[in-house]
Amino acid sequence: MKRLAIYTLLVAVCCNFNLFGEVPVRTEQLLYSIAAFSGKDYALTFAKEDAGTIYLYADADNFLNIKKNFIYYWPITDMWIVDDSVLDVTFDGIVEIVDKKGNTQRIESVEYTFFNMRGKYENNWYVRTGQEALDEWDGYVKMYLDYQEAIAVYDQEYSMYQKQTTPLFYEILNVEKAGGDTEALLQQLSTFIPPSKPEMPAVYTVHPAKIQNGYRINLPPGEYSLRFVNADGRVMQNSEKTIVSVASRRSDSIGYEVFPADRWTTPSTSSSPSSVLYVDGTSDIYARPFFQDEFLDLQYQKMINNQSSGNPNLYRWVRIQQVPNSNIEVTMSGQMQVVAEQPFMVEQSTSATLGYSIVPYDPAGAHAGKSPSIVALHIPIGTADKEVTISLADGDDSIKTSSKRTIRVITGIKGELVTIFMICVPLIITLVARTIRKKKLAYLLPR
Amino acid sequence: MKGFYGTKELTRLHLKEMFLSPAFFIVAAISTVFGYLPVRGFVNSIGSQGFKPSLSPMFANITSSLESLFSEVLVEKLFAEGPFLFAFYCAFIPMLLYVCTSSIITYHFQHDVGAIELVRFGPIRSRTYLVSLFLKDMVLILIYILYLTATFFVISRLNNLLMGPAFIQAVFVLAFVSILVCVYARLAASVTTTGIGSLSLFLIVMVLFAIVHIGSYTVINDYIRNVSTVLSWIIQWFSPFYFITLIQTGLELGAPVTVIGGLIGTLMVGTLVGFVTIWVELHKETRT
Repeated sequence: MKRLAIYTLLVAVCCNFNLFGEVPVRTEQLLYSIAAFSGKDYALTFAKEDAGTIYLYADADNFLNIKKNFIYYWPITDMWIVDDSVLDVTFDGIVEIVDKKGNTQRIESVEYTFFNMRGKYENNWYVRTGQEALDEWDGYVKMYLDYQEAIAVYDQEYSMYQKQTTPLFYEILNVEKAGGDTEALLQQLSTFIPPSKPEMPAVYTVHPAKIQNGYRINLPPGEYSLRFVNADGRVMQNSEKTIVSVASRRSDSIGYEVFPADRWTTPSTSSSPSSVLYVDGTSDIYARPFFQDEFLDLQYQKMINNQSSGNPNLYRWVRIQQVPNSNIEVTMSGQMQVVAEQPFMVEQSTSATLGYSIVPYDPAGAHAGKSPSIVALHIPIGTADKEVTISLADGDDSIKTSSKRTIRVITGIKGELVTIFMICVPLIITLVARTIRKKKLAYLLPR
Repeated sequence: MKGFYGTKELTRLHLKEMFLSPAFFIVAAISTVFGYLPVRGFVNSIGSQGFKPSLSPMFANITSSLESLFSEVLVEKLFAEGPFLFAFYCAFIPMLLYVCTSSIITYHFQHDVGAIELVRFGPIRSRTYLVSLFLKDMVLILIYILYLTATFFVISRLNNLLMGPAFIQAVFVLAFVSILVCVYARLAASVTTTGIGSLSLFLIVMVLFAIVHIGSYTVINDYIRNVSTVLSWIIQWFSPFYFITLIQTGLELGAPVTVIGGLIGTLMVGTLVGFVTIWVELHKETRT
């Protein structure tokens, strides 16, 4: 009976693990909600109560907000997630930032918004604060409402157009069926001009975020103490953190995004100034030079996501933006030529086979009314070219030096027999040495 | 027969012993195979879009392990110029360990058969014997580096691969910091009385230095990394791995102060450990 009870208990415990799904446990925490500039855009993250340090980009506008929310652990992504649907409390007060010398900055909350606008090469983030933020938001709302209104007008006009043309259309069909002359009716139909559909506003790639209140933090590189002081003048519990204001170790270096003509969706990146790009030469390559800054891996990863981890001893190059209007010097077989940046279109293959081709952008012809897919430098390369050197044609010496790259064409492993011989050289030496010694000793020693 | 002449003669004898045995040559060939495999894997991982580790199963495993342990930044830096930097580490580390351990075994063998006592009561002092063993290690390491560099040069010419500045820097840095590793091998041989004890001590010290140094680079766990960073800060001043990193960082950034600091630091710690080794040997001599 006792044994049966133990078995039952064991089965019940085992079933407990398998039968019921795990429900995330939510905990109430005081969080710093962070809009962190990362050198090229704004990353949204948050710092939990047990996160001792907040990493922010130096000499740039970042925004903090202190909130009380529920958070829960999501094992699939190994991340903590904020649930603000039930509890979303913000606090009145000021943020105090103290530097190493003891100087205190008191920062008051400000209204802000950020948005993304398409540039020539990539998207650009902008931030507005105070009245500018309100104006931007109002402008966006007005633009959106105007568009809605224009759409409503368009719908009305279009239904009017349909009302006018549909009976005429049926009449033409009937006359045609009866074998009559439709010329006059068709002429009448052509006098009705359909309304043109209003274009969706293309100003923003990501529209302005709803106006938020936050503390604008713009600090020189260094380490600071952060605390939140309530409206009643007391420091809020669990609000004390360290801010590390992160600066790049090296900046304005040149990196390249390189992609072959046959796989433009999987680009490689060449970040290190001394790095070599090895390709098999089966396809032409396209390159996009970009400015890059070098950050400590851990600090950069934590800056864009406070929960992530990184390497505290290694530095990483971070792409900032594409070099505008770039020209590169391409040296191939001892001959140098300057290649200018060009727009290209990626055209899907129209045949049954999958694939695409990259063709020069023709705004007046085949690609009229379309934007180019990519703006890049075309480097023709083949298996006969052993080494191609590229570097930016414009810019100062440091930029030119950091932009130098070598492209080497590798066509499979070669000379394996020679390599095996080289590996066997020590064995040959010892074999020869032992043979000679053996003969020498045999000669010296009496038989 | 004292001083320089004694050291020279003993070093020559140790080298002769080493060259007469096939072991060094076999290990050299095997280590070079360890170095060639990554080069082969790298070439097989080249596609139209550049270096893609996923094209070679061996490289996919190596790079994914390194990425998960250290970060993708390390992998990017390691293969930025080509495969030779990684290949050099793969080939050189087994050879360095072999040279040091064989030297420890030689010391204990000669100690056990009374050869050291014999020369000590004759024309040679203990410190001369220790210095000659150290010099033998360094000569073997330099010979192997020359051979390995020549082999890699041939492979690079055959396969259109670059032996870039990072590789050349690594060759010099590793050759220089080997001084410290060889001195630790001498110390490990002197402070214990048995061959097994010395080998264990040497390997434990090297593994400890490696774990603490590598631990501070890992991204697996914040706690492990923080503990390693604290431990590393304490023992880094004696670690060959710290000096390798310091000198290489200085060379990468073009910071001569860091490079010179690393070189002087290596020499200072090497001299200090060397003096401790000689002191231990003299102490043993007195007791005998």
